Amino acid sequence: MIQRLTARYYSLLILLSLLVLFVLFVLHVAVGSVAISPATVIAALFNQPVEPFQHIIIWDLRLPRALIALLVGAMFGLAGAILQVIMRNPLAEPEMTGATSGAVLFAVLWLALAPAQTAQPGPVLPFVALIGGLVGGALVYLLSWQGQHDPVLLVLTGVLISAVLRSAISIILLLRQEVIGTVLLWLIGSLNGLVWTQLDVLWPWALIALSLGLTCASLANVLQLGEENATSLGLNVPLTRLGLFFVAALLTASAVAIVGGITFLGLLAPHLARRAVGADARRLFPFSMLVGAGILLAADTLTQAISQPVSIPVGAALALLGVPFFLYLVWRRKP
Amino acid sequence: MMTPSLWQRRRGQLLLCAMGSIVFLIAVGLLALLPGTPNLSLPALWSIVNGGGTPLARLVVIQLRLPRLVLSMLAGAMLALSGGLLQGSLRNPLAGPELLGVSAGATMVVAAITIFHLPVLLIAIPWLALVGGLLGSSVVILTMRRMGDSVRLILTGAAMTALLNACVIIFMSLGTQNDLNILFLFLVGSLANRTWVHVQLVLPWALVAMPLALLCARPLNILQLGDDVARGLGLPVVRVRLLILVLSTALVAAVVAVCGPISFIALLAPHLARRLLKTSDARVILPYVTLLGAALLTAADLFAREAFAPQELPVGIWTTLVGGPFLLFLLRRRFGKSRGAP
Amino acid sequence: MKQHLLRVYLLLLVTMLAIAACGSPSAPASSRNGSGSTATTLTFTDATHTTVTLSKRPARIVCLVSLCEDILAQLGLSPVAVNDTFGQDPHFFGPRAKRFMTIGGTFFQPDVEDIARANPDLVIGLANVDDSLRSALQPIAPLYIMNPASYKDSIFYLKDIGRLTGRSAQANQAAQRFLHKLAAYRAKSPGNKSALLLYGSDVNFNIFTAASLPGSVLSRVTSYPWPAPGPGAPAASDHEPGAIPYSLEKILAVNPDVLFIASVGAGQPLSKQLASSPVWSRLKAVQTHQVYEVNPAYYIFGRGTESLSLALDDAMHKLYPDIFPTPLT
Repeated sequence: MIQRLTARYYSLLILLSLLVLFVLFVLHVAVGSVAISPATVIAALFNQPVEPFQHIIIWDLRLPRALIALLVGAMFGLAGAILQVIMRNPLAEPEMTGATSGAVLFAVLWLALAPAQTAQPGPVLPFVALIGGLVGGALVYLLSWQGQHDPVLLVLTGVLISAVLRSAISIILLLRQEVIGTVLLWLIGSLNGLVWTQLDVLWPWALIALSLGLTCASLANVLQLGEENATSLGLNVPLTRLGLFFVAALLTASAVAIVGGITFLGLLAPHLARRAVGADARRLFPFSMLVGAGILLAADTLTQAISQPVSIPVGAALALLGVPFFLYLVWRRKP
Repeated sequence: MMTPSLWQRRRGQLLLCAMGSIVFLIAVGLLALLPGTPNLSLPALWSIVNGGGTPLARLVVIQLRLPRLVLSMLAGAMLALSGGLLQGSLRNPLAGPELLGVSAGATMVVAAITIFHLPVLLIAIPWLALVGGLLGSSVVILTMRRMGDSVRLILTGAAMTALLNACVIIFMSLGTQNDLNILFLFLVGSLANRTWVHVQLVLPWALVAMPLALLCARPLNILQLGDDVARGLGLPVVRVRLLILVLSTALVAAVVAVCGPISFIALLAPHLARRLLKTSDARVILPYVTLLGAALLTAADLFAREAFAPQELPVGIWTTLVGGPFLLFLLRRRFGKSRGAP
Repeated sequence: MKQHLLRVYLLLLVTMLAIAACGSPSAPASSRNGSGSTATTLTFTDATHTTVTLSKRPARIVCLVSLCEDILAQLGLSPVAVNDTFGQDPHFFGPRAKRFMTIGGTFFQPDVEDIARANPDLVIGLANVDDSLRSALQPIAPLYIMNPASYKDSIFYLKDIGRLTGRSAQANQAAQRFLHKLAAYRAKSPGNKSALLLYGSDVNFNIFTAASLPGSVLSRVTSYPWPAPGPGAPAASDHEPGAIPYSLEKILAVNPDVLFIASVGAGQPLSKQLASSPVWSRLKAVQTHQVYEVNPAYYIFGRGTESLSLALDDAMHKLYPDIFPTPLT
């Protein structure tokens, strides 16, 4: 295993990944039930004249979807990386923060209880989901507080609170059976029908949260040295953990508010990134973002390619891709 | 582990706890037979037992409420036993079928059968659920090189469960809207409308697996001493653990096949038992856990049936909603007392 | 090292912002469809309280729900694309429906690009299923979300689409046909038999209350003693509960005369399952063999006046075969 990458190798890796990402991006925009060649895609992106119908498909449907996939993938990747650092366990994933269940719960409450005018899945819904996600994260964090934070208790609280929140969602769904279809799809995550409106809601949060996460990288590094070492270096460990947890919850909540509860991305991306660049957070975090974005773009391209006779939401494609990979990872991992 | 002298001293206390549970169980059982349509009183119930009462009341009590009561007791007992076995053999208070991927695996198989309308015989379903449950838990167990690593256990189990749940949701999204509503009821874990047919389905599994589970008490006690000590005492550790895993999965699979995944009884009952009896001796805990699980699930089901009558909210929701926080509370105190992993 | 990273990150960010800024969402469909909006008769307010103005009469309509196909068949129009096989029923479009374009994806997530490909003037969808598509459909076509909670809503939607497509005459005729039939059945029906519509299996089932769409029709022509859930459960809102899980004990107590069932799943048809269940077999309906499997397309999924009309014919014939040996006109 490569222990320390030279700076040069790392720069090359980053540039290569950006290139791959660009290719995936173009591919994503090109693939769909309306066949468009990559050449046309690139032409349209640079505002060259193309057929008006294809122009609409590219600019109004696929481009925002690809951008959302890019941002959301990066957000999940970063959230996963941060959590794995806090937990010091490479099996942690953003679901543990309780942000996913919290976001969906608040969204379902909103859909079920709010007056009809505002109850459409319009611009207000993502904000409600975001608040829910943060509340969920806060709940998990506060409930696992026992003078200081034990990683075991944190994880356990996360799992239990997620389960409790999900059963609250079930109650609402049972009393309001009409919304079961949409909510279930939301629970698994889907990029269908996401356009500029949703992107406009997403990108400010993405910007804030991603920047916050990246700037915390050096702090995360110190944390990785272990509690005693970190404290002796002058770091306020509980506060740092809280801060990082909050950033992870923010990333997860804002991403989930737009696309729903995508699982596994926060688990896979940091894992792969770690294999490539090692555990240095200043490298791991950005690279995890890139890997996350790439995986989601690839999975969504798959989703767009298969639409007849049956289509699968992107969360499903990820789960299917994730199963064998997860099993392989767990099997190969050293204790 | 309880030494003989400890037994003597504690015997009175243990007996009291056992009696208390039995009384509670009987009381809850009786209570479960009374409300509904028609609402019955105790004398009315007594007359039905003696062969009287209106035909409708007799029908309702004998064909609906009684099998449901029996099923809730059986299911509660089996789930609780399963949890007790797992926690004892893995020496981890967080081991439970819902956290290890056992429930999720069994659910996925049963959901696939239901959604895709696979032509499977009714009696075969628990067997298929067993296979599913074993597959689900095998991943988790195989990664456990060190039994005491709780974090890894929960995380792997949770990841596996999330994965399997995702598969179920995928299946569901391929259905029609009405399919979805019906399936959702099952996937939450419900005892509604179960009759003697369902009791018959579960009974053979209960009659075989439960006594076997109770017999595991001694090996469990030996395992508590640590893997090396156990080996030294002549116990084939790996084989015993595997057997216990299969046994507890069997207990859960039968319940899931009939009722869907009812969570937190398996996790909660052993904790409560250990807390109430103040011991970890499996010879005492396992029988007690059986009683406790039966009582808990029966009480939860009573609530599920009557809280929003005539609409029924499945019992799985309530066990999670109440059981989850309760378990969290119990575990916080435990972790507060002993800092660091168990 | 850190500076290099920062540079890369900034570059990425700037690129994304550039694309986002340059991204010009097309103008809303109403002005794309042509210049000069016509009179306000081409405005509608749908079930989500969204008001939309069309710039010309819709001719190409995409149906994401069977109700839409029912309505268009009544108006003498054809959809350009559908996402189910409902229209192939001979009462609606028959075999030529096979040549309609299909929208891919699932019922819950129709493929937006397929909709775009159909080049529609109007898209009609179902509440709680298709409302999230509104933003995506903005540059493509206006979206009309329907949420029929009773037959009166079905009639309203029929007339509204008739108005928008300039076919009010046909719409009124179809509405009159249905109301006339309903009144005729109601007048002649002795009303002395109680019925229940349910779907599912003998263990997991939902019933349709009188507040649901099929229930609203059945309760007009016969005894249908299944009131909507009272206080404590949501009712009287924009989203009327359709089918709900119900206590079997209550069903036994009320003991309806006739059971209408839409079964779900393979294996034995539900009527056989019920006969062999010790509980269900005590029901009057099961003992007198008045358990009927019904066509869910007419009773449940159709939602339109013609579907409900066909369901009425079927139900009344089964309820009172002596009085209604053949369907009323």
